[in-house]
Amino acid sequence: MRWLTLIITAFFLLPAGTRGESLSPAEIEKRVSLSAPAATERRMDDIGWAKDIRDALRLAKEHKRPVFLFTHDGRMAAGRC
Amino acid sequence: MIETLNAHFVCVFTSNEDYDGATATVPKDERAELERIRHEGYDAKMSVGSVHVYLLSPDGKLRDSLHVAAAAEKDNLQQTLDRMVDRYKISAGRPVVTPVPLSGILHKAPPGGAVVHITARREGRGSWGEFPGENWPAFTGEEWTRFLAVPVGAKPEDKWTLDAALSRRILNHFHPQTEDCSDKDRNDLKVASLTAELQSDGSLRLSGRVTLMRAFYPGRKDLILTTASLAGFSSEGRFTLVTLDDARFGKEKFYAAAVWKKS
Repeated sequence: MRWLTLIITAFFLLPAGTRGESLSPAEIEKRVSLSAPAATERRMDDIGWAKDIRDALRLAKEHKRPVFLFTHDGRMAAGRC
Repeated sequence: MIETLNAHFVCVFTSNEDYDGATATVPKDERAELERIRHEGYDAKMSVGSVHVYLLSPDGKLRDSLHVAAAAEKDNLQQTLDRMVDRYKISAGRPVVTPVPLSGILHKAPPGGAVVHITARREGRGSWGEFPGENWPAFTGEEWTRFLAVPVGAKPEDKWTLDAALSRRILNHFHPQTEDCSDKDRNDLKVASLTAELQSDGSLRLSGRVTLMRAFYPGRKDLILTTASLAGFSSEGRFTLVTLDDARFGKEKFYAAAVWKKS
């Protein structure tokens, strides 16, 4: 707990500029791109996805196409996990 | 690959959390279909597992499967898809489902409310750093208005602390991806504060700090210290908040941002 207290205390002793108070709105907007997904990282949006397995099976039969099923842990659509 | 999928296949993905165990939310007949596919794989001694590609015939029978690690090797997946196309002599066509941005259909604001798009990622790439984590916490209109309301009588350069619970709802997601991918509030938030300063043009300059402890794996007690200074602004139907250069997830630098634009 002592080291956590030290970290928090050190933050409040930092000069104001270090805390980002000198950043303009344009500079803040620019920093969004450091974490936001690039278009190339959202290519799953370029694929047409059926809503669930039953829907996919119905469409497969109707259009005489095979089914590509990807099962995964987490939330691919959300990018978590 | 994407062209092949759209032109020749019906594509679908599933989150195991929705199908298995106590977190299952899908109807029984939907779960039964996934179980049926897995059992067909066991019976045919195919690769079966939780993170897998399964290829079914047009009449729904399992014909091939790949573990995700095998699918990611060289052009294994493309070759497997091509074999299916050849096997069923499928001519290319338009996608049977129109592609749409997945995030847009999953996260809608309540009437008059706001959905904040949060992104967070490690500086390093590779495993767990290749893609950002994304979250869309939703706020009612009343909550969002209260969150960014200027106190009565406030003058330029006046400062105040934003609502703690609403700040927490945003800052709780300011960490990179972990194995625990639930939206549930499992973090130990030591510090989650946002301060607004009224500017002469009526906009708000935001500053703040987040310090949270989070386990990389669900249910584990080895918590990772995540800290960041924050800067942002709110002006004319736009809210933006970002981490600064001191942001750390354990020893590693990370970046996070929260953005809302009035639609």
